[in-house]
Amino acid sequence: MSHPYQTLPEDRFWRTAVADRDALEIGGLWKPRFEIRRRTGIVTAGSCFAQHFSRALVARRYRWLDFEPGPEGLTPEQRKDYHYGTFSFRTGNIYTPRMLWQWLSWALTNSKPPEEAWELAGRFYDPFRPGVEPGGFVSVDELLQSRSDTLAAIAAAVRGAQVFVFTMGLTEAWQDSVSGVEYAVCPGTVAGRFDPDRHVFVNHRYAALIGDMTAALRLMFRANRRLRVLLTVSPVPLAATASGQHVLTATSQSKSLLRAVASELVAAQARVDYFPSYEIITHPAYRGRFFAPNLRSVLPEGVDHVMAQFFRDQATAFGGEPVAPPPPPPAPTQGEAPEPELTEAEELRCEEEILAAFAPDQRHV
Amino acid sequence: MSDLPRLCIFGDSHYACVKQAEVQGLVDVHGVELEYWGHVGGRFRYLEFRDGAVHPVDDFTARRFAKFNAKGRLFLPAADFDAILVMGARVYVWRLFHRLLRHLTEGPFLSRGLERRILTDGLRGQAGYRLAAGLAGTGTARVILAPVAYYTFDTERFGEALTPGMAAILPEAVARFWRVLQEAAADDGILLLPQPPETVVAGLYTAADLAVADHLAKQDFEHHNAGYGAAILSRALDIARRVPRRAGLQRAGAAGKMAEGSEV
Repeated sequence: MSHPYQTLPEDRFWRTAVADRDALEIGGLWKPRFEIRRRTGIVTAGSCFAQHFSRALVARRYRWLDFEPGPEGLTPEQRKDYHYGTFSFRTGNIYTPRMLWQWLSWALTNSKPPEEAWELAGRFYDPFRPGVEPGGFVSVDELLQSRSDTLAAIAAAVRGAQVFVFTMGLTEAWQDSVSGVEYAVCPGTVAGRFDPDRHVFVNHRYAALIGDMTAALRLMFRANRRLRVLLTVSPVPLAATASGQHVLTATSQSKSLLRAVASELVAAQARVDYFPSYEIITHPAYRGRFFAPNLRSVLPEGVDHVMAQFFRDQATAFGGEPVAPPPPPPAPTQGEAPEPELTEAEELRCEEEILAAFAPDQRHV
Repeated sequence: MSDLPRLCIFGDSHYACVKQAEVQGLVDVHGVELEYWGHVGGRFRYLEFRDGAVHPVDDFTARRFAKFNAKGRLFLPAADFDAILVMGARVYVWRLFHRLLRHLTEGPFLSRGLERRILTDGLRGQAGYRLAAGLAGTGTARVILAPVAYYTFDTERFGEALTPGMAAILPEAVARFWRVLQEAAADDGILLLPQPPETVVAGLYTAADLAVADHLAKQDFEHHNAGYGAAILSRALDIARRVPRRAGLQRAGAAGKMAEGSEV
């Protein structure tokens, strides 16, 4: 008597798909719903792991869109330090679905962010992106002006992209009990002052996470009917937890919930997909090989493997060859600023000036 | 052997105007022993700082510099001087200022923090500045840096370089830019001289009467005459006269070896 498992391919069975294979040969983890081509306009946001996506896309000459590139002529170091080009807009890390929804509602609706600023040593930090400005802003006005640019960039990104990649990072966050806004980090850590009567810890539960992500998706799809959303879950464990649990079990809870949210949204919404970078890095099949000795930082080879799977699975689903990254360009000389090269005529003029000044008769005027 | 404070003028072709100021007697140089060590900017690519001195990396460059030094120095040890004026030395600010003014008026948003970072990186990234910082880092001579002056004003050439928006914010912004550069330089032990205000026109240009002779015919908007040199040299001399003399200062030739057949 036949049964449904008899005709299933190899990758549906643990022994043939995982146990009998070298971990690096495990493939086909992702069955992409939609094609991402080189010319597909892609924006990225989310937890810190999301930045690897943009780098890999740029390295392969995909059309990663940067809606807040900052002033022209910045050096790579300046861009990195001031968080330009890390994501498609200058929000810094967006860890939770609530934070994503919050940014989108400020950018795409009439809802206004609070004019709250965290002060430290006479400088001002944005509670919703405290890390983007090293040393802080010189004034609240400057902070708000900069945030206004970021909100405009978010709106343009949602409206202008074809694929929005969002990496969910955490379920834990801190909120203002009065306004209800959620902060990027706990007040008092980077800047600001922690007020136990006002600042409350939240560990979002499944229903809230689904609700926030659904609301965020609704805002995005309303702004752009052609938009597709690709969700991922950051494999990076929590650095610390305020949940009262051990950080290891708190990490499991956070990541499990986010992973479940991703699957639920894929099941419920045709325009949403999930790419399993989380599994590729964290699953026991890989025996922790992609983590640094601190078991938290993801090694470059882990990122490379994740992105290789991404492009390979796209090629498998939609044809074509997996795109390999070009060799890295030679590293620029550190700290070297471009100086105008002298033309031959300029060099001649320079020499004439010196010769005239130091000529034996020294009568040059 | 003189006990006067010793001031070295080290620079690229922009140091010529300082020499002219001295030769033409536009500045009272008495009480200070002056020495010049420099050559055209293109040769600055062949200089490096090591062992307390600026060294040419090849013999040809060393002889080019020695040619215009009265004592035929092949290299420039900081410890031989009480003060060193680094003049021009391919340290440019005009493009940096202009670029920032454009950002500030045309966007995208530029924070003061990033403005400061662009300025300090822009200064420290220039090879001539790093030579100055090396000299200052010895803790011997007082190092004074006068960057290359703004371009000579010319309506035809630069009339549209500054938009009305840029012109409106220019006085406050450029004063702030210079303050940032001075602070960065001070952190590196350098006293940075902003372009003297009496030499500036239209906020970001050098007055045409301070251009080199026949500058229009030569299309030379970069080099300046003895008048400009005097404005810088007088300031450098003031500083040199106030620098405390160091005991046991090495005399010429002890550290900076002489070249045979020096022409000057």
